[in-house]
Amino acid sequence: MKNITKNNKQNNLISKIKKFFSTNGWEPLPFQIESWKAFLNGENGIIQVPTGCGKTYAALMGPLSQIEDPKNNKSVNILLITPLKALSRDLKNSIQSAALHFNKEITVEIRNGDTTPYEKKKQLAKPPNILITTPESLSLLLSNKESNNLFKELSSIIIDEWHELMGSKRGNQCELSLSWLRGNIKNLQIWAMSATIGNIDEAARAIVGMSAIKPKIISTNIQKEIEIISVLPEEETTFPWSGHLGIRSHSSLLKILDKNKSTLLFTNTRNQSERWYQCLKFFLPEMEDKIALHHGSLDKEDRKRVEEGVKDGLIKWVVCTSSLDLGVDFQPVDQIVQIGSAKNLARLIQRAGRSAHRPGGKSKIIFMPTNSLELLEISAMRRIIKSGISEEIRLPELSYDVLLQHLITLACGNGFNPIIEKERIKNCWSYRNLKEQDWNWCLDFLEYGGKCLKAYPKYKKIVKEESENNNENFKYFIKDKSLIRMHKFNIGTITSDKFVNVKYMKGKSLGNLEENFASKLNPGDTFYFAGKMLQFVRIRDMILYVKKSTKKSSLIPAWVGGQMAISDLLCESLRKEIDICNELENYKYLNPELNSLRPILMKQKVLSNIPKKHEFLIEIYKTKDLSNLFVFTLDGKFVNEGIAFLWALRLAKLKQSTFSITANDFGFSLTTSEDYDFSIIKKEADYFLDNKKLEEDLEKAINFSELKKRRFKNIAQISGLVNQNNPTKTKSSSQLQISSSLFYDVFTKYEEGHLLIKQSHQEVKEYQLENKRISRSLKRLKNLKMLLNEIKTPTPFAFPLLVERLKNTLSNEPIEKRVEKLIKKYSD
Amino acid sequence: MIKSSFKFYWEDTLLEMLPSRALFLPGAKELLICDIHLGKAEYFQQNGIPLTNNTDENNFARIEKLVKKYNPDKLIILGDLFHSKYSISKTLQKKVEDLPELLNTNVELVLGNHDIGCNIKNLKILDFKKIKNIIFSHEPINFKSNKNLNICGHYHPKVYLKNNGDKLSLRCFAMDTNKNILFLPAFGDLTGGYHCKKSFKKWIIVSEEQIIEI
Repeated sequence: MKNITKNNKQNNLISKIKKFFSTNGWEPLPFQIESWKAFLNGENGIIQVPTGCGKTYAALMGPLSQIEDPKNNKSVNILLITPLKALSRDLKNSIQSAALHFNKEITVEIRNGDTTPYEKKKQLAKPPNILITTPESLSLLLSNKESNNLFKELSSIIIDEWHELMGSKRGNQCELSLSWLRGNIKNLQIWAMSATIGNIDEAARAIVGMSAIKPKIISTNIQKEIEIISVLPEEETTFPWSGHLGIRSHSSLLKILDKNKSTLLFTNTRNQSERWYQCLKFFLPEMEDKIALHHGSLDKEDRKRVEEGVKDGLIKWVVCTSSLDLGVDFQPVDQIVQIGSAKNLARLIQRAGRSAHRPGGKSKIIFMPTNSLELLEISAMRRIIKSGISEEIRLPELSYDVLLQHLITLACGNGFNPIIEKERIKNCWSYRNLKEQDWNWCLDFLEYGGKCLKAYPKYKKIVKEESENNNENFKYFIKDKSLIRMHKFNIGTITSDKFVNVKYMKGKSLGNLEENFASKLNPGDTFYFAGKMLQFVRIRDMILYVKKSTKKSSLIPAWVGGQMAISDLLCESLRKEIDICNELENYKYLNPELNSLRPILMKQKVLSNIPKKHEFLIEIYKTKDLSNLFVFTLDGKFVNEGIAFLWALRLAKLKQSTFSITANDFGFSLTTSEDYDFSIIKKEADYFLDNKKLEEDLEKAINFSELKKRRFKNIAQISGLVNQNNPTKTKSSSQLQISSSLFYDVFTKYEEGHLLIKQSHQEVKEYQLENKRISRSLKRLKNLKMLLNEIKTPTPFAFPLLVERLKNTLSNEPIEKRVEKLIKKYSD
Repeated sequence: MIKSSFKFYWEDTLLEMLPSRALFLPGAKELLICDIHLGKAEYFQQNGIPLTNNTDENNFARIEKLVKKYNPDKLIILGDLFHSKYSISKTLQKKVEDLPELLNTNVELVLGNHDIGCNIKNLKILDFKKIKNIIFSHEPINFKSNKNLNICGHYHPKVYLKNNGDKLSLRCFAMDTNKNILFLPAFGDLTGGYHCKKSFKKWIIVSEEQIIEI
């Protein structure tokens, strides 16, 4: 009987949702109906469909239809978590129009870094029905004593673009916040939306927690059609241009682009975006006011102006980095351009998806290679798309830094009891293997500063507060107001290098530059930043003062980070692609990319080999004063770097020498100034590909502690040792500045078994040197037939590595000149 | 070339830069160090950042070792002996007061910005110091005469070295040859620093025994 009424109610709600669809002239898709039913059934889960297929409506209509008395809510009813602030406004609009259909009184509000303190206060006093927030702002809410009230009657949480959060520590942060909400609120339903990924079960488990019943996974077989158009080099050449030289072929790109269409041009680095912006403005003076620049280091106000300019149609083209990656709220965007390798398929599809935001719409992306071998990647991507396989996204595990930050957050707010909180945390997917002793270490660290109490006499952070009637039932709190303030200013897992603010002498802020770049400038130097030529005047109190300049300069700041290797799936596919290239002469036409690469590939084949499926290519190139080894593993940049270091060590063991190392996604090169006999590699192949002493050798081969130190920088910021932001710029706060490397040295010297040091070790091994991937790669190479060719002139495959090496050596000549010379020699 | 110390003359005064982050004046038998920042760890602890204070013990041990080796008549600290007046424990206070006796030498402190408000006994306190045409101060003093040399602390000079894939940041002595200012490296273990200008002449401290001129 009860079941029937429940079913009736469910049917009622579903027909209500369907009515909303039909008034808009839409037809619900099967996966949308499935999602509504699953939600109204009380299930938790994940909805996996390509971007722009209507997953927001799939996830949201269920919870929305259940809000019964919106005006008299005592707390937030639906919490929506999105990875980017820019997404919020968009979501708010679409939810609001849907909510209107159910009940005019449903309120939707945004809470993120841009929300004013007044609005924030108002939200706590009178919570909206639906709150849209980011993982960082949600954490910040948990550090507030009001959070208990704000979420008292929360019924559902929806996480947007979960795949985007999953790949980083932001995913951990999200999991931990969810664990607290789950623990405090009964009958909470949690749903996530994700793009298609290979490990969707894991993604769903991370959302619902380990102890929940099997989460529902809703997928569709909607294949979004994606059209990739590659900009091909105009002339037939037999050498692959490389790096930012790709900018030379801007004219081919400009021919395809429509000046009147709204366009996003994605680049991989901020440096690249500045270069392209400069180039486009120079060649299209009539577009001067219609082209804008957008990257994460520019001033917030300027970025907002660009976003609004596009929305109003005043700005047509935006050169940007991933700062505009996700939902850009000025849609529709008509043209999308990807400059340089997108490194993985998910990102390319995501970006392409911006061009068609309606279900069934075709998405289109124009690819502008910066190195012609990147065309092979596109050809490989086409094949992956066709096969329907998707990439896996790994959620980091056991990030102690994020855990410590979370515990401090809770101690700032409603406090936490260690026994209860431990169970909640161990229920998170990425902390399921948390050891008892490590948990205790974390508590010691927060309460006493460390295990050795003598070393921390004045330490204070979290303190026990027992409840009146029960001594067992204590909670940890932070009492000190300034500590709370400092923590709240530093919540988050996105860390960065030290920045200086760039300002005009008159006071207008332009954005942020890395301190390192700034420290190398002398007064009078000119450089290009924020799309402007600037002259350095002076630096004071972390502010770099500049004035406009008309002098020409090629100096463009480079920002650290953003280095990425191509994904596993893409590597594999790329190897297949190269195998196919062997047969190129048997085909008249395969696709535009391979066709355009034909002369280059033919030259590779004549000069050396194109490795077949079962082969592995090594080239040796000797000049008058250098011996070069080129090894093509096709296993991604990081793996190549690892094997390069390994081989350098193993070579040196046989015959002492030093090598300079260069690596890219294709392979690596070792260069030495002596006449070195690299053919030994073939004779001793087993020794070089040996997997047994891999870890030991790697630690010896690489300045391991230096890598760990660099990793530790980020860990120290997240765990609150180093504060990125200071609420006050008083003297006392400046006395609290110390570099993470000093922390690293002190902890290593005086405190054995420091968990955060251990974490940095783990991170280097798993994410940077990728031990597992290196080992897998060696195993694979061992089964291949090694082709070792002595080459008389560098081959097309070796060329990008050669250019890369030149970039890293010192010379007064500009890189362009040197490359030009090289090309000359090469073409003769 | 790596050396165990670097000597140079300013007029007729001999100065010796030591890799143990100190400057020695063999003529007057004076030893100079600066920017020790004692009590820094405790200052962090008070502010909820767990930093062990074992480092102060090491700072004292290094001072002792230096004095034993060079046996100076006077140890001059060019400012920032302490990190903050709020983080001087009784033990630390006592240790500093006992310093002249322990080292069996006179100790002078040229006050630094961090020392302001600290209660310091048994040390001779100065604002700056002048010996012939050398002026000793914590922060650099701008003066016109090119005959004078200003030796100071405060900046914690460091040098940043970088090549393919490798980078290093090291303490150094730095000389602004335009203004005749010699910046001494920070002595304290718990001190960071600032990368100094390209135009400065530098002597990089490679280890406790090695120093190199660039």
